[in-house]
Amino acid sequence: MRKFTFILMALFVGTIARAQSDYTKSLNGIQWVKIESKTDIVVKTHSSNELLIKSGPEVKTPERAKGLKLVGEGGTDNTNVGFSVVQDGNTLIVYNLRKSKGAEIYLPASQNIAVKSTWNGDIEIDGFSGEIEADAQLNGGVKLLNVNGPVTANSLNGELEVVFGKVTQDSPISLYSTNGAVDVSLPSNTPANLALSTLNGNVYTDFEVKSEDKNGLKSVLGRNIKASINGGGVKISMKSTNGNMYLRKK
Amino acid sequence: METLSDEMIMQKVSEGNLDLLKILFDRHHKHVYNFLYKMSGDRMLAEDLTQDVFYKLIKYRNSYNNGSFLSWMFTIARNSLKTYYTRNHKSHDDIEVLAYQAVEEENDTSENNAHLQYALSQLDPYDRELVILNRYREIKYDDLAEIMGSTPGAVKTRVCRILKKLKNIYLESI
Amino acid sequence: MEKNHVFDQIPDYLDGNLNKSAEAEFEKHLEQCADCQKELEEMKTFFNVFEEEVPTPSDRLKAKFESTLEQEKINQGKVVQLEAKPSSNWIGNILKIAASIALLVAAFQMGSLFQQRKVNEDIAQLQDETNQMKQTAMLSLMENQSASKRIQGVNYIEEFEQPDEAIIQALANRLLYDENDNVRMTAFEALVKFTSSETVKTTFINALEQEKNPSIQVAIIQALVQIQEKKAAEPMKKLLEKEDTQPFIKDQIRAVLPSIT
Repeated sequence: MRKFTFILMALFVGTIARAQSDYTKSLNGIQWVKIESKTDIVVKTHSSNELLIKSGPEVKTPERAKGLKLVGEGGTDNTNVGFSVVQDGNTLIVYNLRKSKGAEIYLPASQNIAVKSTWNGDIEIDGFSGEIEADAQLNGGVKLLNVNGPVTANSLNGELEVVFGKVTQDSPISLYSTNGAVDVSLPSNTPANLALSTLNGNVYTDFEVKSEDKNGLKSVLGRNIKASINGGGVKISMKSTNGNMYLRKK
Repeated sequence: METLSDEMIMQKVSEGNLDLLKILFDRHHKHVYNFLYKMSGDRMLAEDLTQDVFYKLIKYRNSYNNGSFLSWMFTIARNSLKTYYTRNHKSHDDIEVLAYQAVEEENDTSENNAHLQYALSQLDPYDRELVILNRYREIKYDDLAEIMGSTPGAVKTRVCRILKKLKNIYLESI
Repeated sequence: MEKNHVFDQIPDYLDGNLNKSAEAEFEKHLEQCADCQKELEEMKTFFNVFEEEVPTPSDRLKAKFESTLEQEKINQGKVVQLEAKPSSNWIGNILKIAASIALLVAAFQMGSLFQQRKVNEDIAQLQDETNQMKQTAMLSLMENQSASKRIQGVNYIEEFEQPDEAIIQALANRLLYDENDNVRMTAFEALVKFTSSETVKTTFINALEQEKNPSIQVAIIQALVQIQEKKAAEPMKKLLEKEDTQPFIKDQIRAVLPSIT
């Protein structure tokens, strides 16, 4: 009986926490969702055509701030979850005003999204088929999983990791990092024209770009490599100035 | 003018600008002729069939699907040759068994040519086609694979082997 | 070493299909392997024979082709005429057809010189058309809201051998003002092939003064040093003084600065 009460309580508390921290907004007429954050940001897919922000149950406003609103560089908290959400034409601009703690954002899989991390935040985006732009401007890394559409990603010090699903569009893919590694997994039958370049790093791949060794991932000599795989197709350009580059078959 | 690709020109031809076909004829008729001659060892036949290939390019211009022009043209060339042999050797109906006309006694046939034609005649028809097409440099392994219905990797390995074999037959015959 | 004969690569080597490192490896092996040398020589001889023995078809072929083509053009003309005006009176139609046939025949008889010139004009026009189409497509793509589309626009530069000033300027604007780092980097890579242009040089120097992305900074520095652009020294010195310039950029500048001052 005690156990049962406990579960009931937990469920109850959980529901309240959820209700408090969720924010939703319809995406009718919205082509792009731009997200900017100083902290970790995770973007996942869901099936309804709306923006859903979960800040997690632990977010509490300080006692003194009761009745006040959080104000940050990007605007004022108009969501009660520490975000400012503003519509500008066909673009929805989403600012994370908090300087600590990450957030999870849910969007429909076909949404075009642009995510920017301006401080230490890592960007993780999972499962999208629309267009993705990810920019980790300082120390954050970028992790894109199961993406199908055009990707434009850039990082300064963090790592850039991209796992592609089926790539069929003809819009180019561009992945650049200054100091981080660029690590890309691509289905082995993807038709593509590859351009890999690095200034001070090495390139490792198990794709049939011209190289010496026979087994496993191999180091490719030369700093600018161009190769077409599976008869050529979408242009995929990868570059790391000081980091290594890994291109894997999936 | 050189920068305009075969594909772009053929596209315009299929839209009705027939005059542009002359460019394609000038660019490629020698190669088509050469292919057909080396395959058959018969100059007159090669000329007739080349004529036929370009006639078909005109006739079927609307079915051109913007793919590789070379692949398309040589596929038509192969089919013409196949049709010819099917019609003239009714008991056989495949290019695999097409008869090879032995070296002709033409006055202008050089000795080198005779040896080369002899060496080619020693190959299977499939291998002969593969190697002749491969020696026409503008045809890349990708095109070649498309024409022959194979994969670039397989075609490449095979071409290497046949070239070696053909070279040895040729050198032994001199 | 002797066991690893390079027979399989001989055709690709002769055709110039091996990449630099494979070619070097191939030649290294060749030096010490008599078997492969012999094989290479034989194959070379054989290739020569294959190339020389290209028979030429007779002139009959070309003449036949051209008459077939003219015939087809006449057929084409006929069909269009008949379909275009189904309701007008039949005598008029027949006259028109007759006239068009007469015209075509006359055109044909005017000789091959005229024909050739006509074809050349068509080609020139077609080329012009496609260049303009490409340029419009390129410029409009570069204004797209999507970064990937803008990159696609920038990549169109590969289609132009001699891009005109409008294209160079559009690319320069991407490098200087685009908010997306990847677009700026791609624009740089497109422009770096045209460093003989004054516009490009000036753009690079301006970009170096305002660019924040270290990867683009270092790429611009290398390009400017390669063309020995003296005006690049000032912005480089400024970068040296800035606190937020990455250490590896400063190292790079210190290394190259003496060579252009």
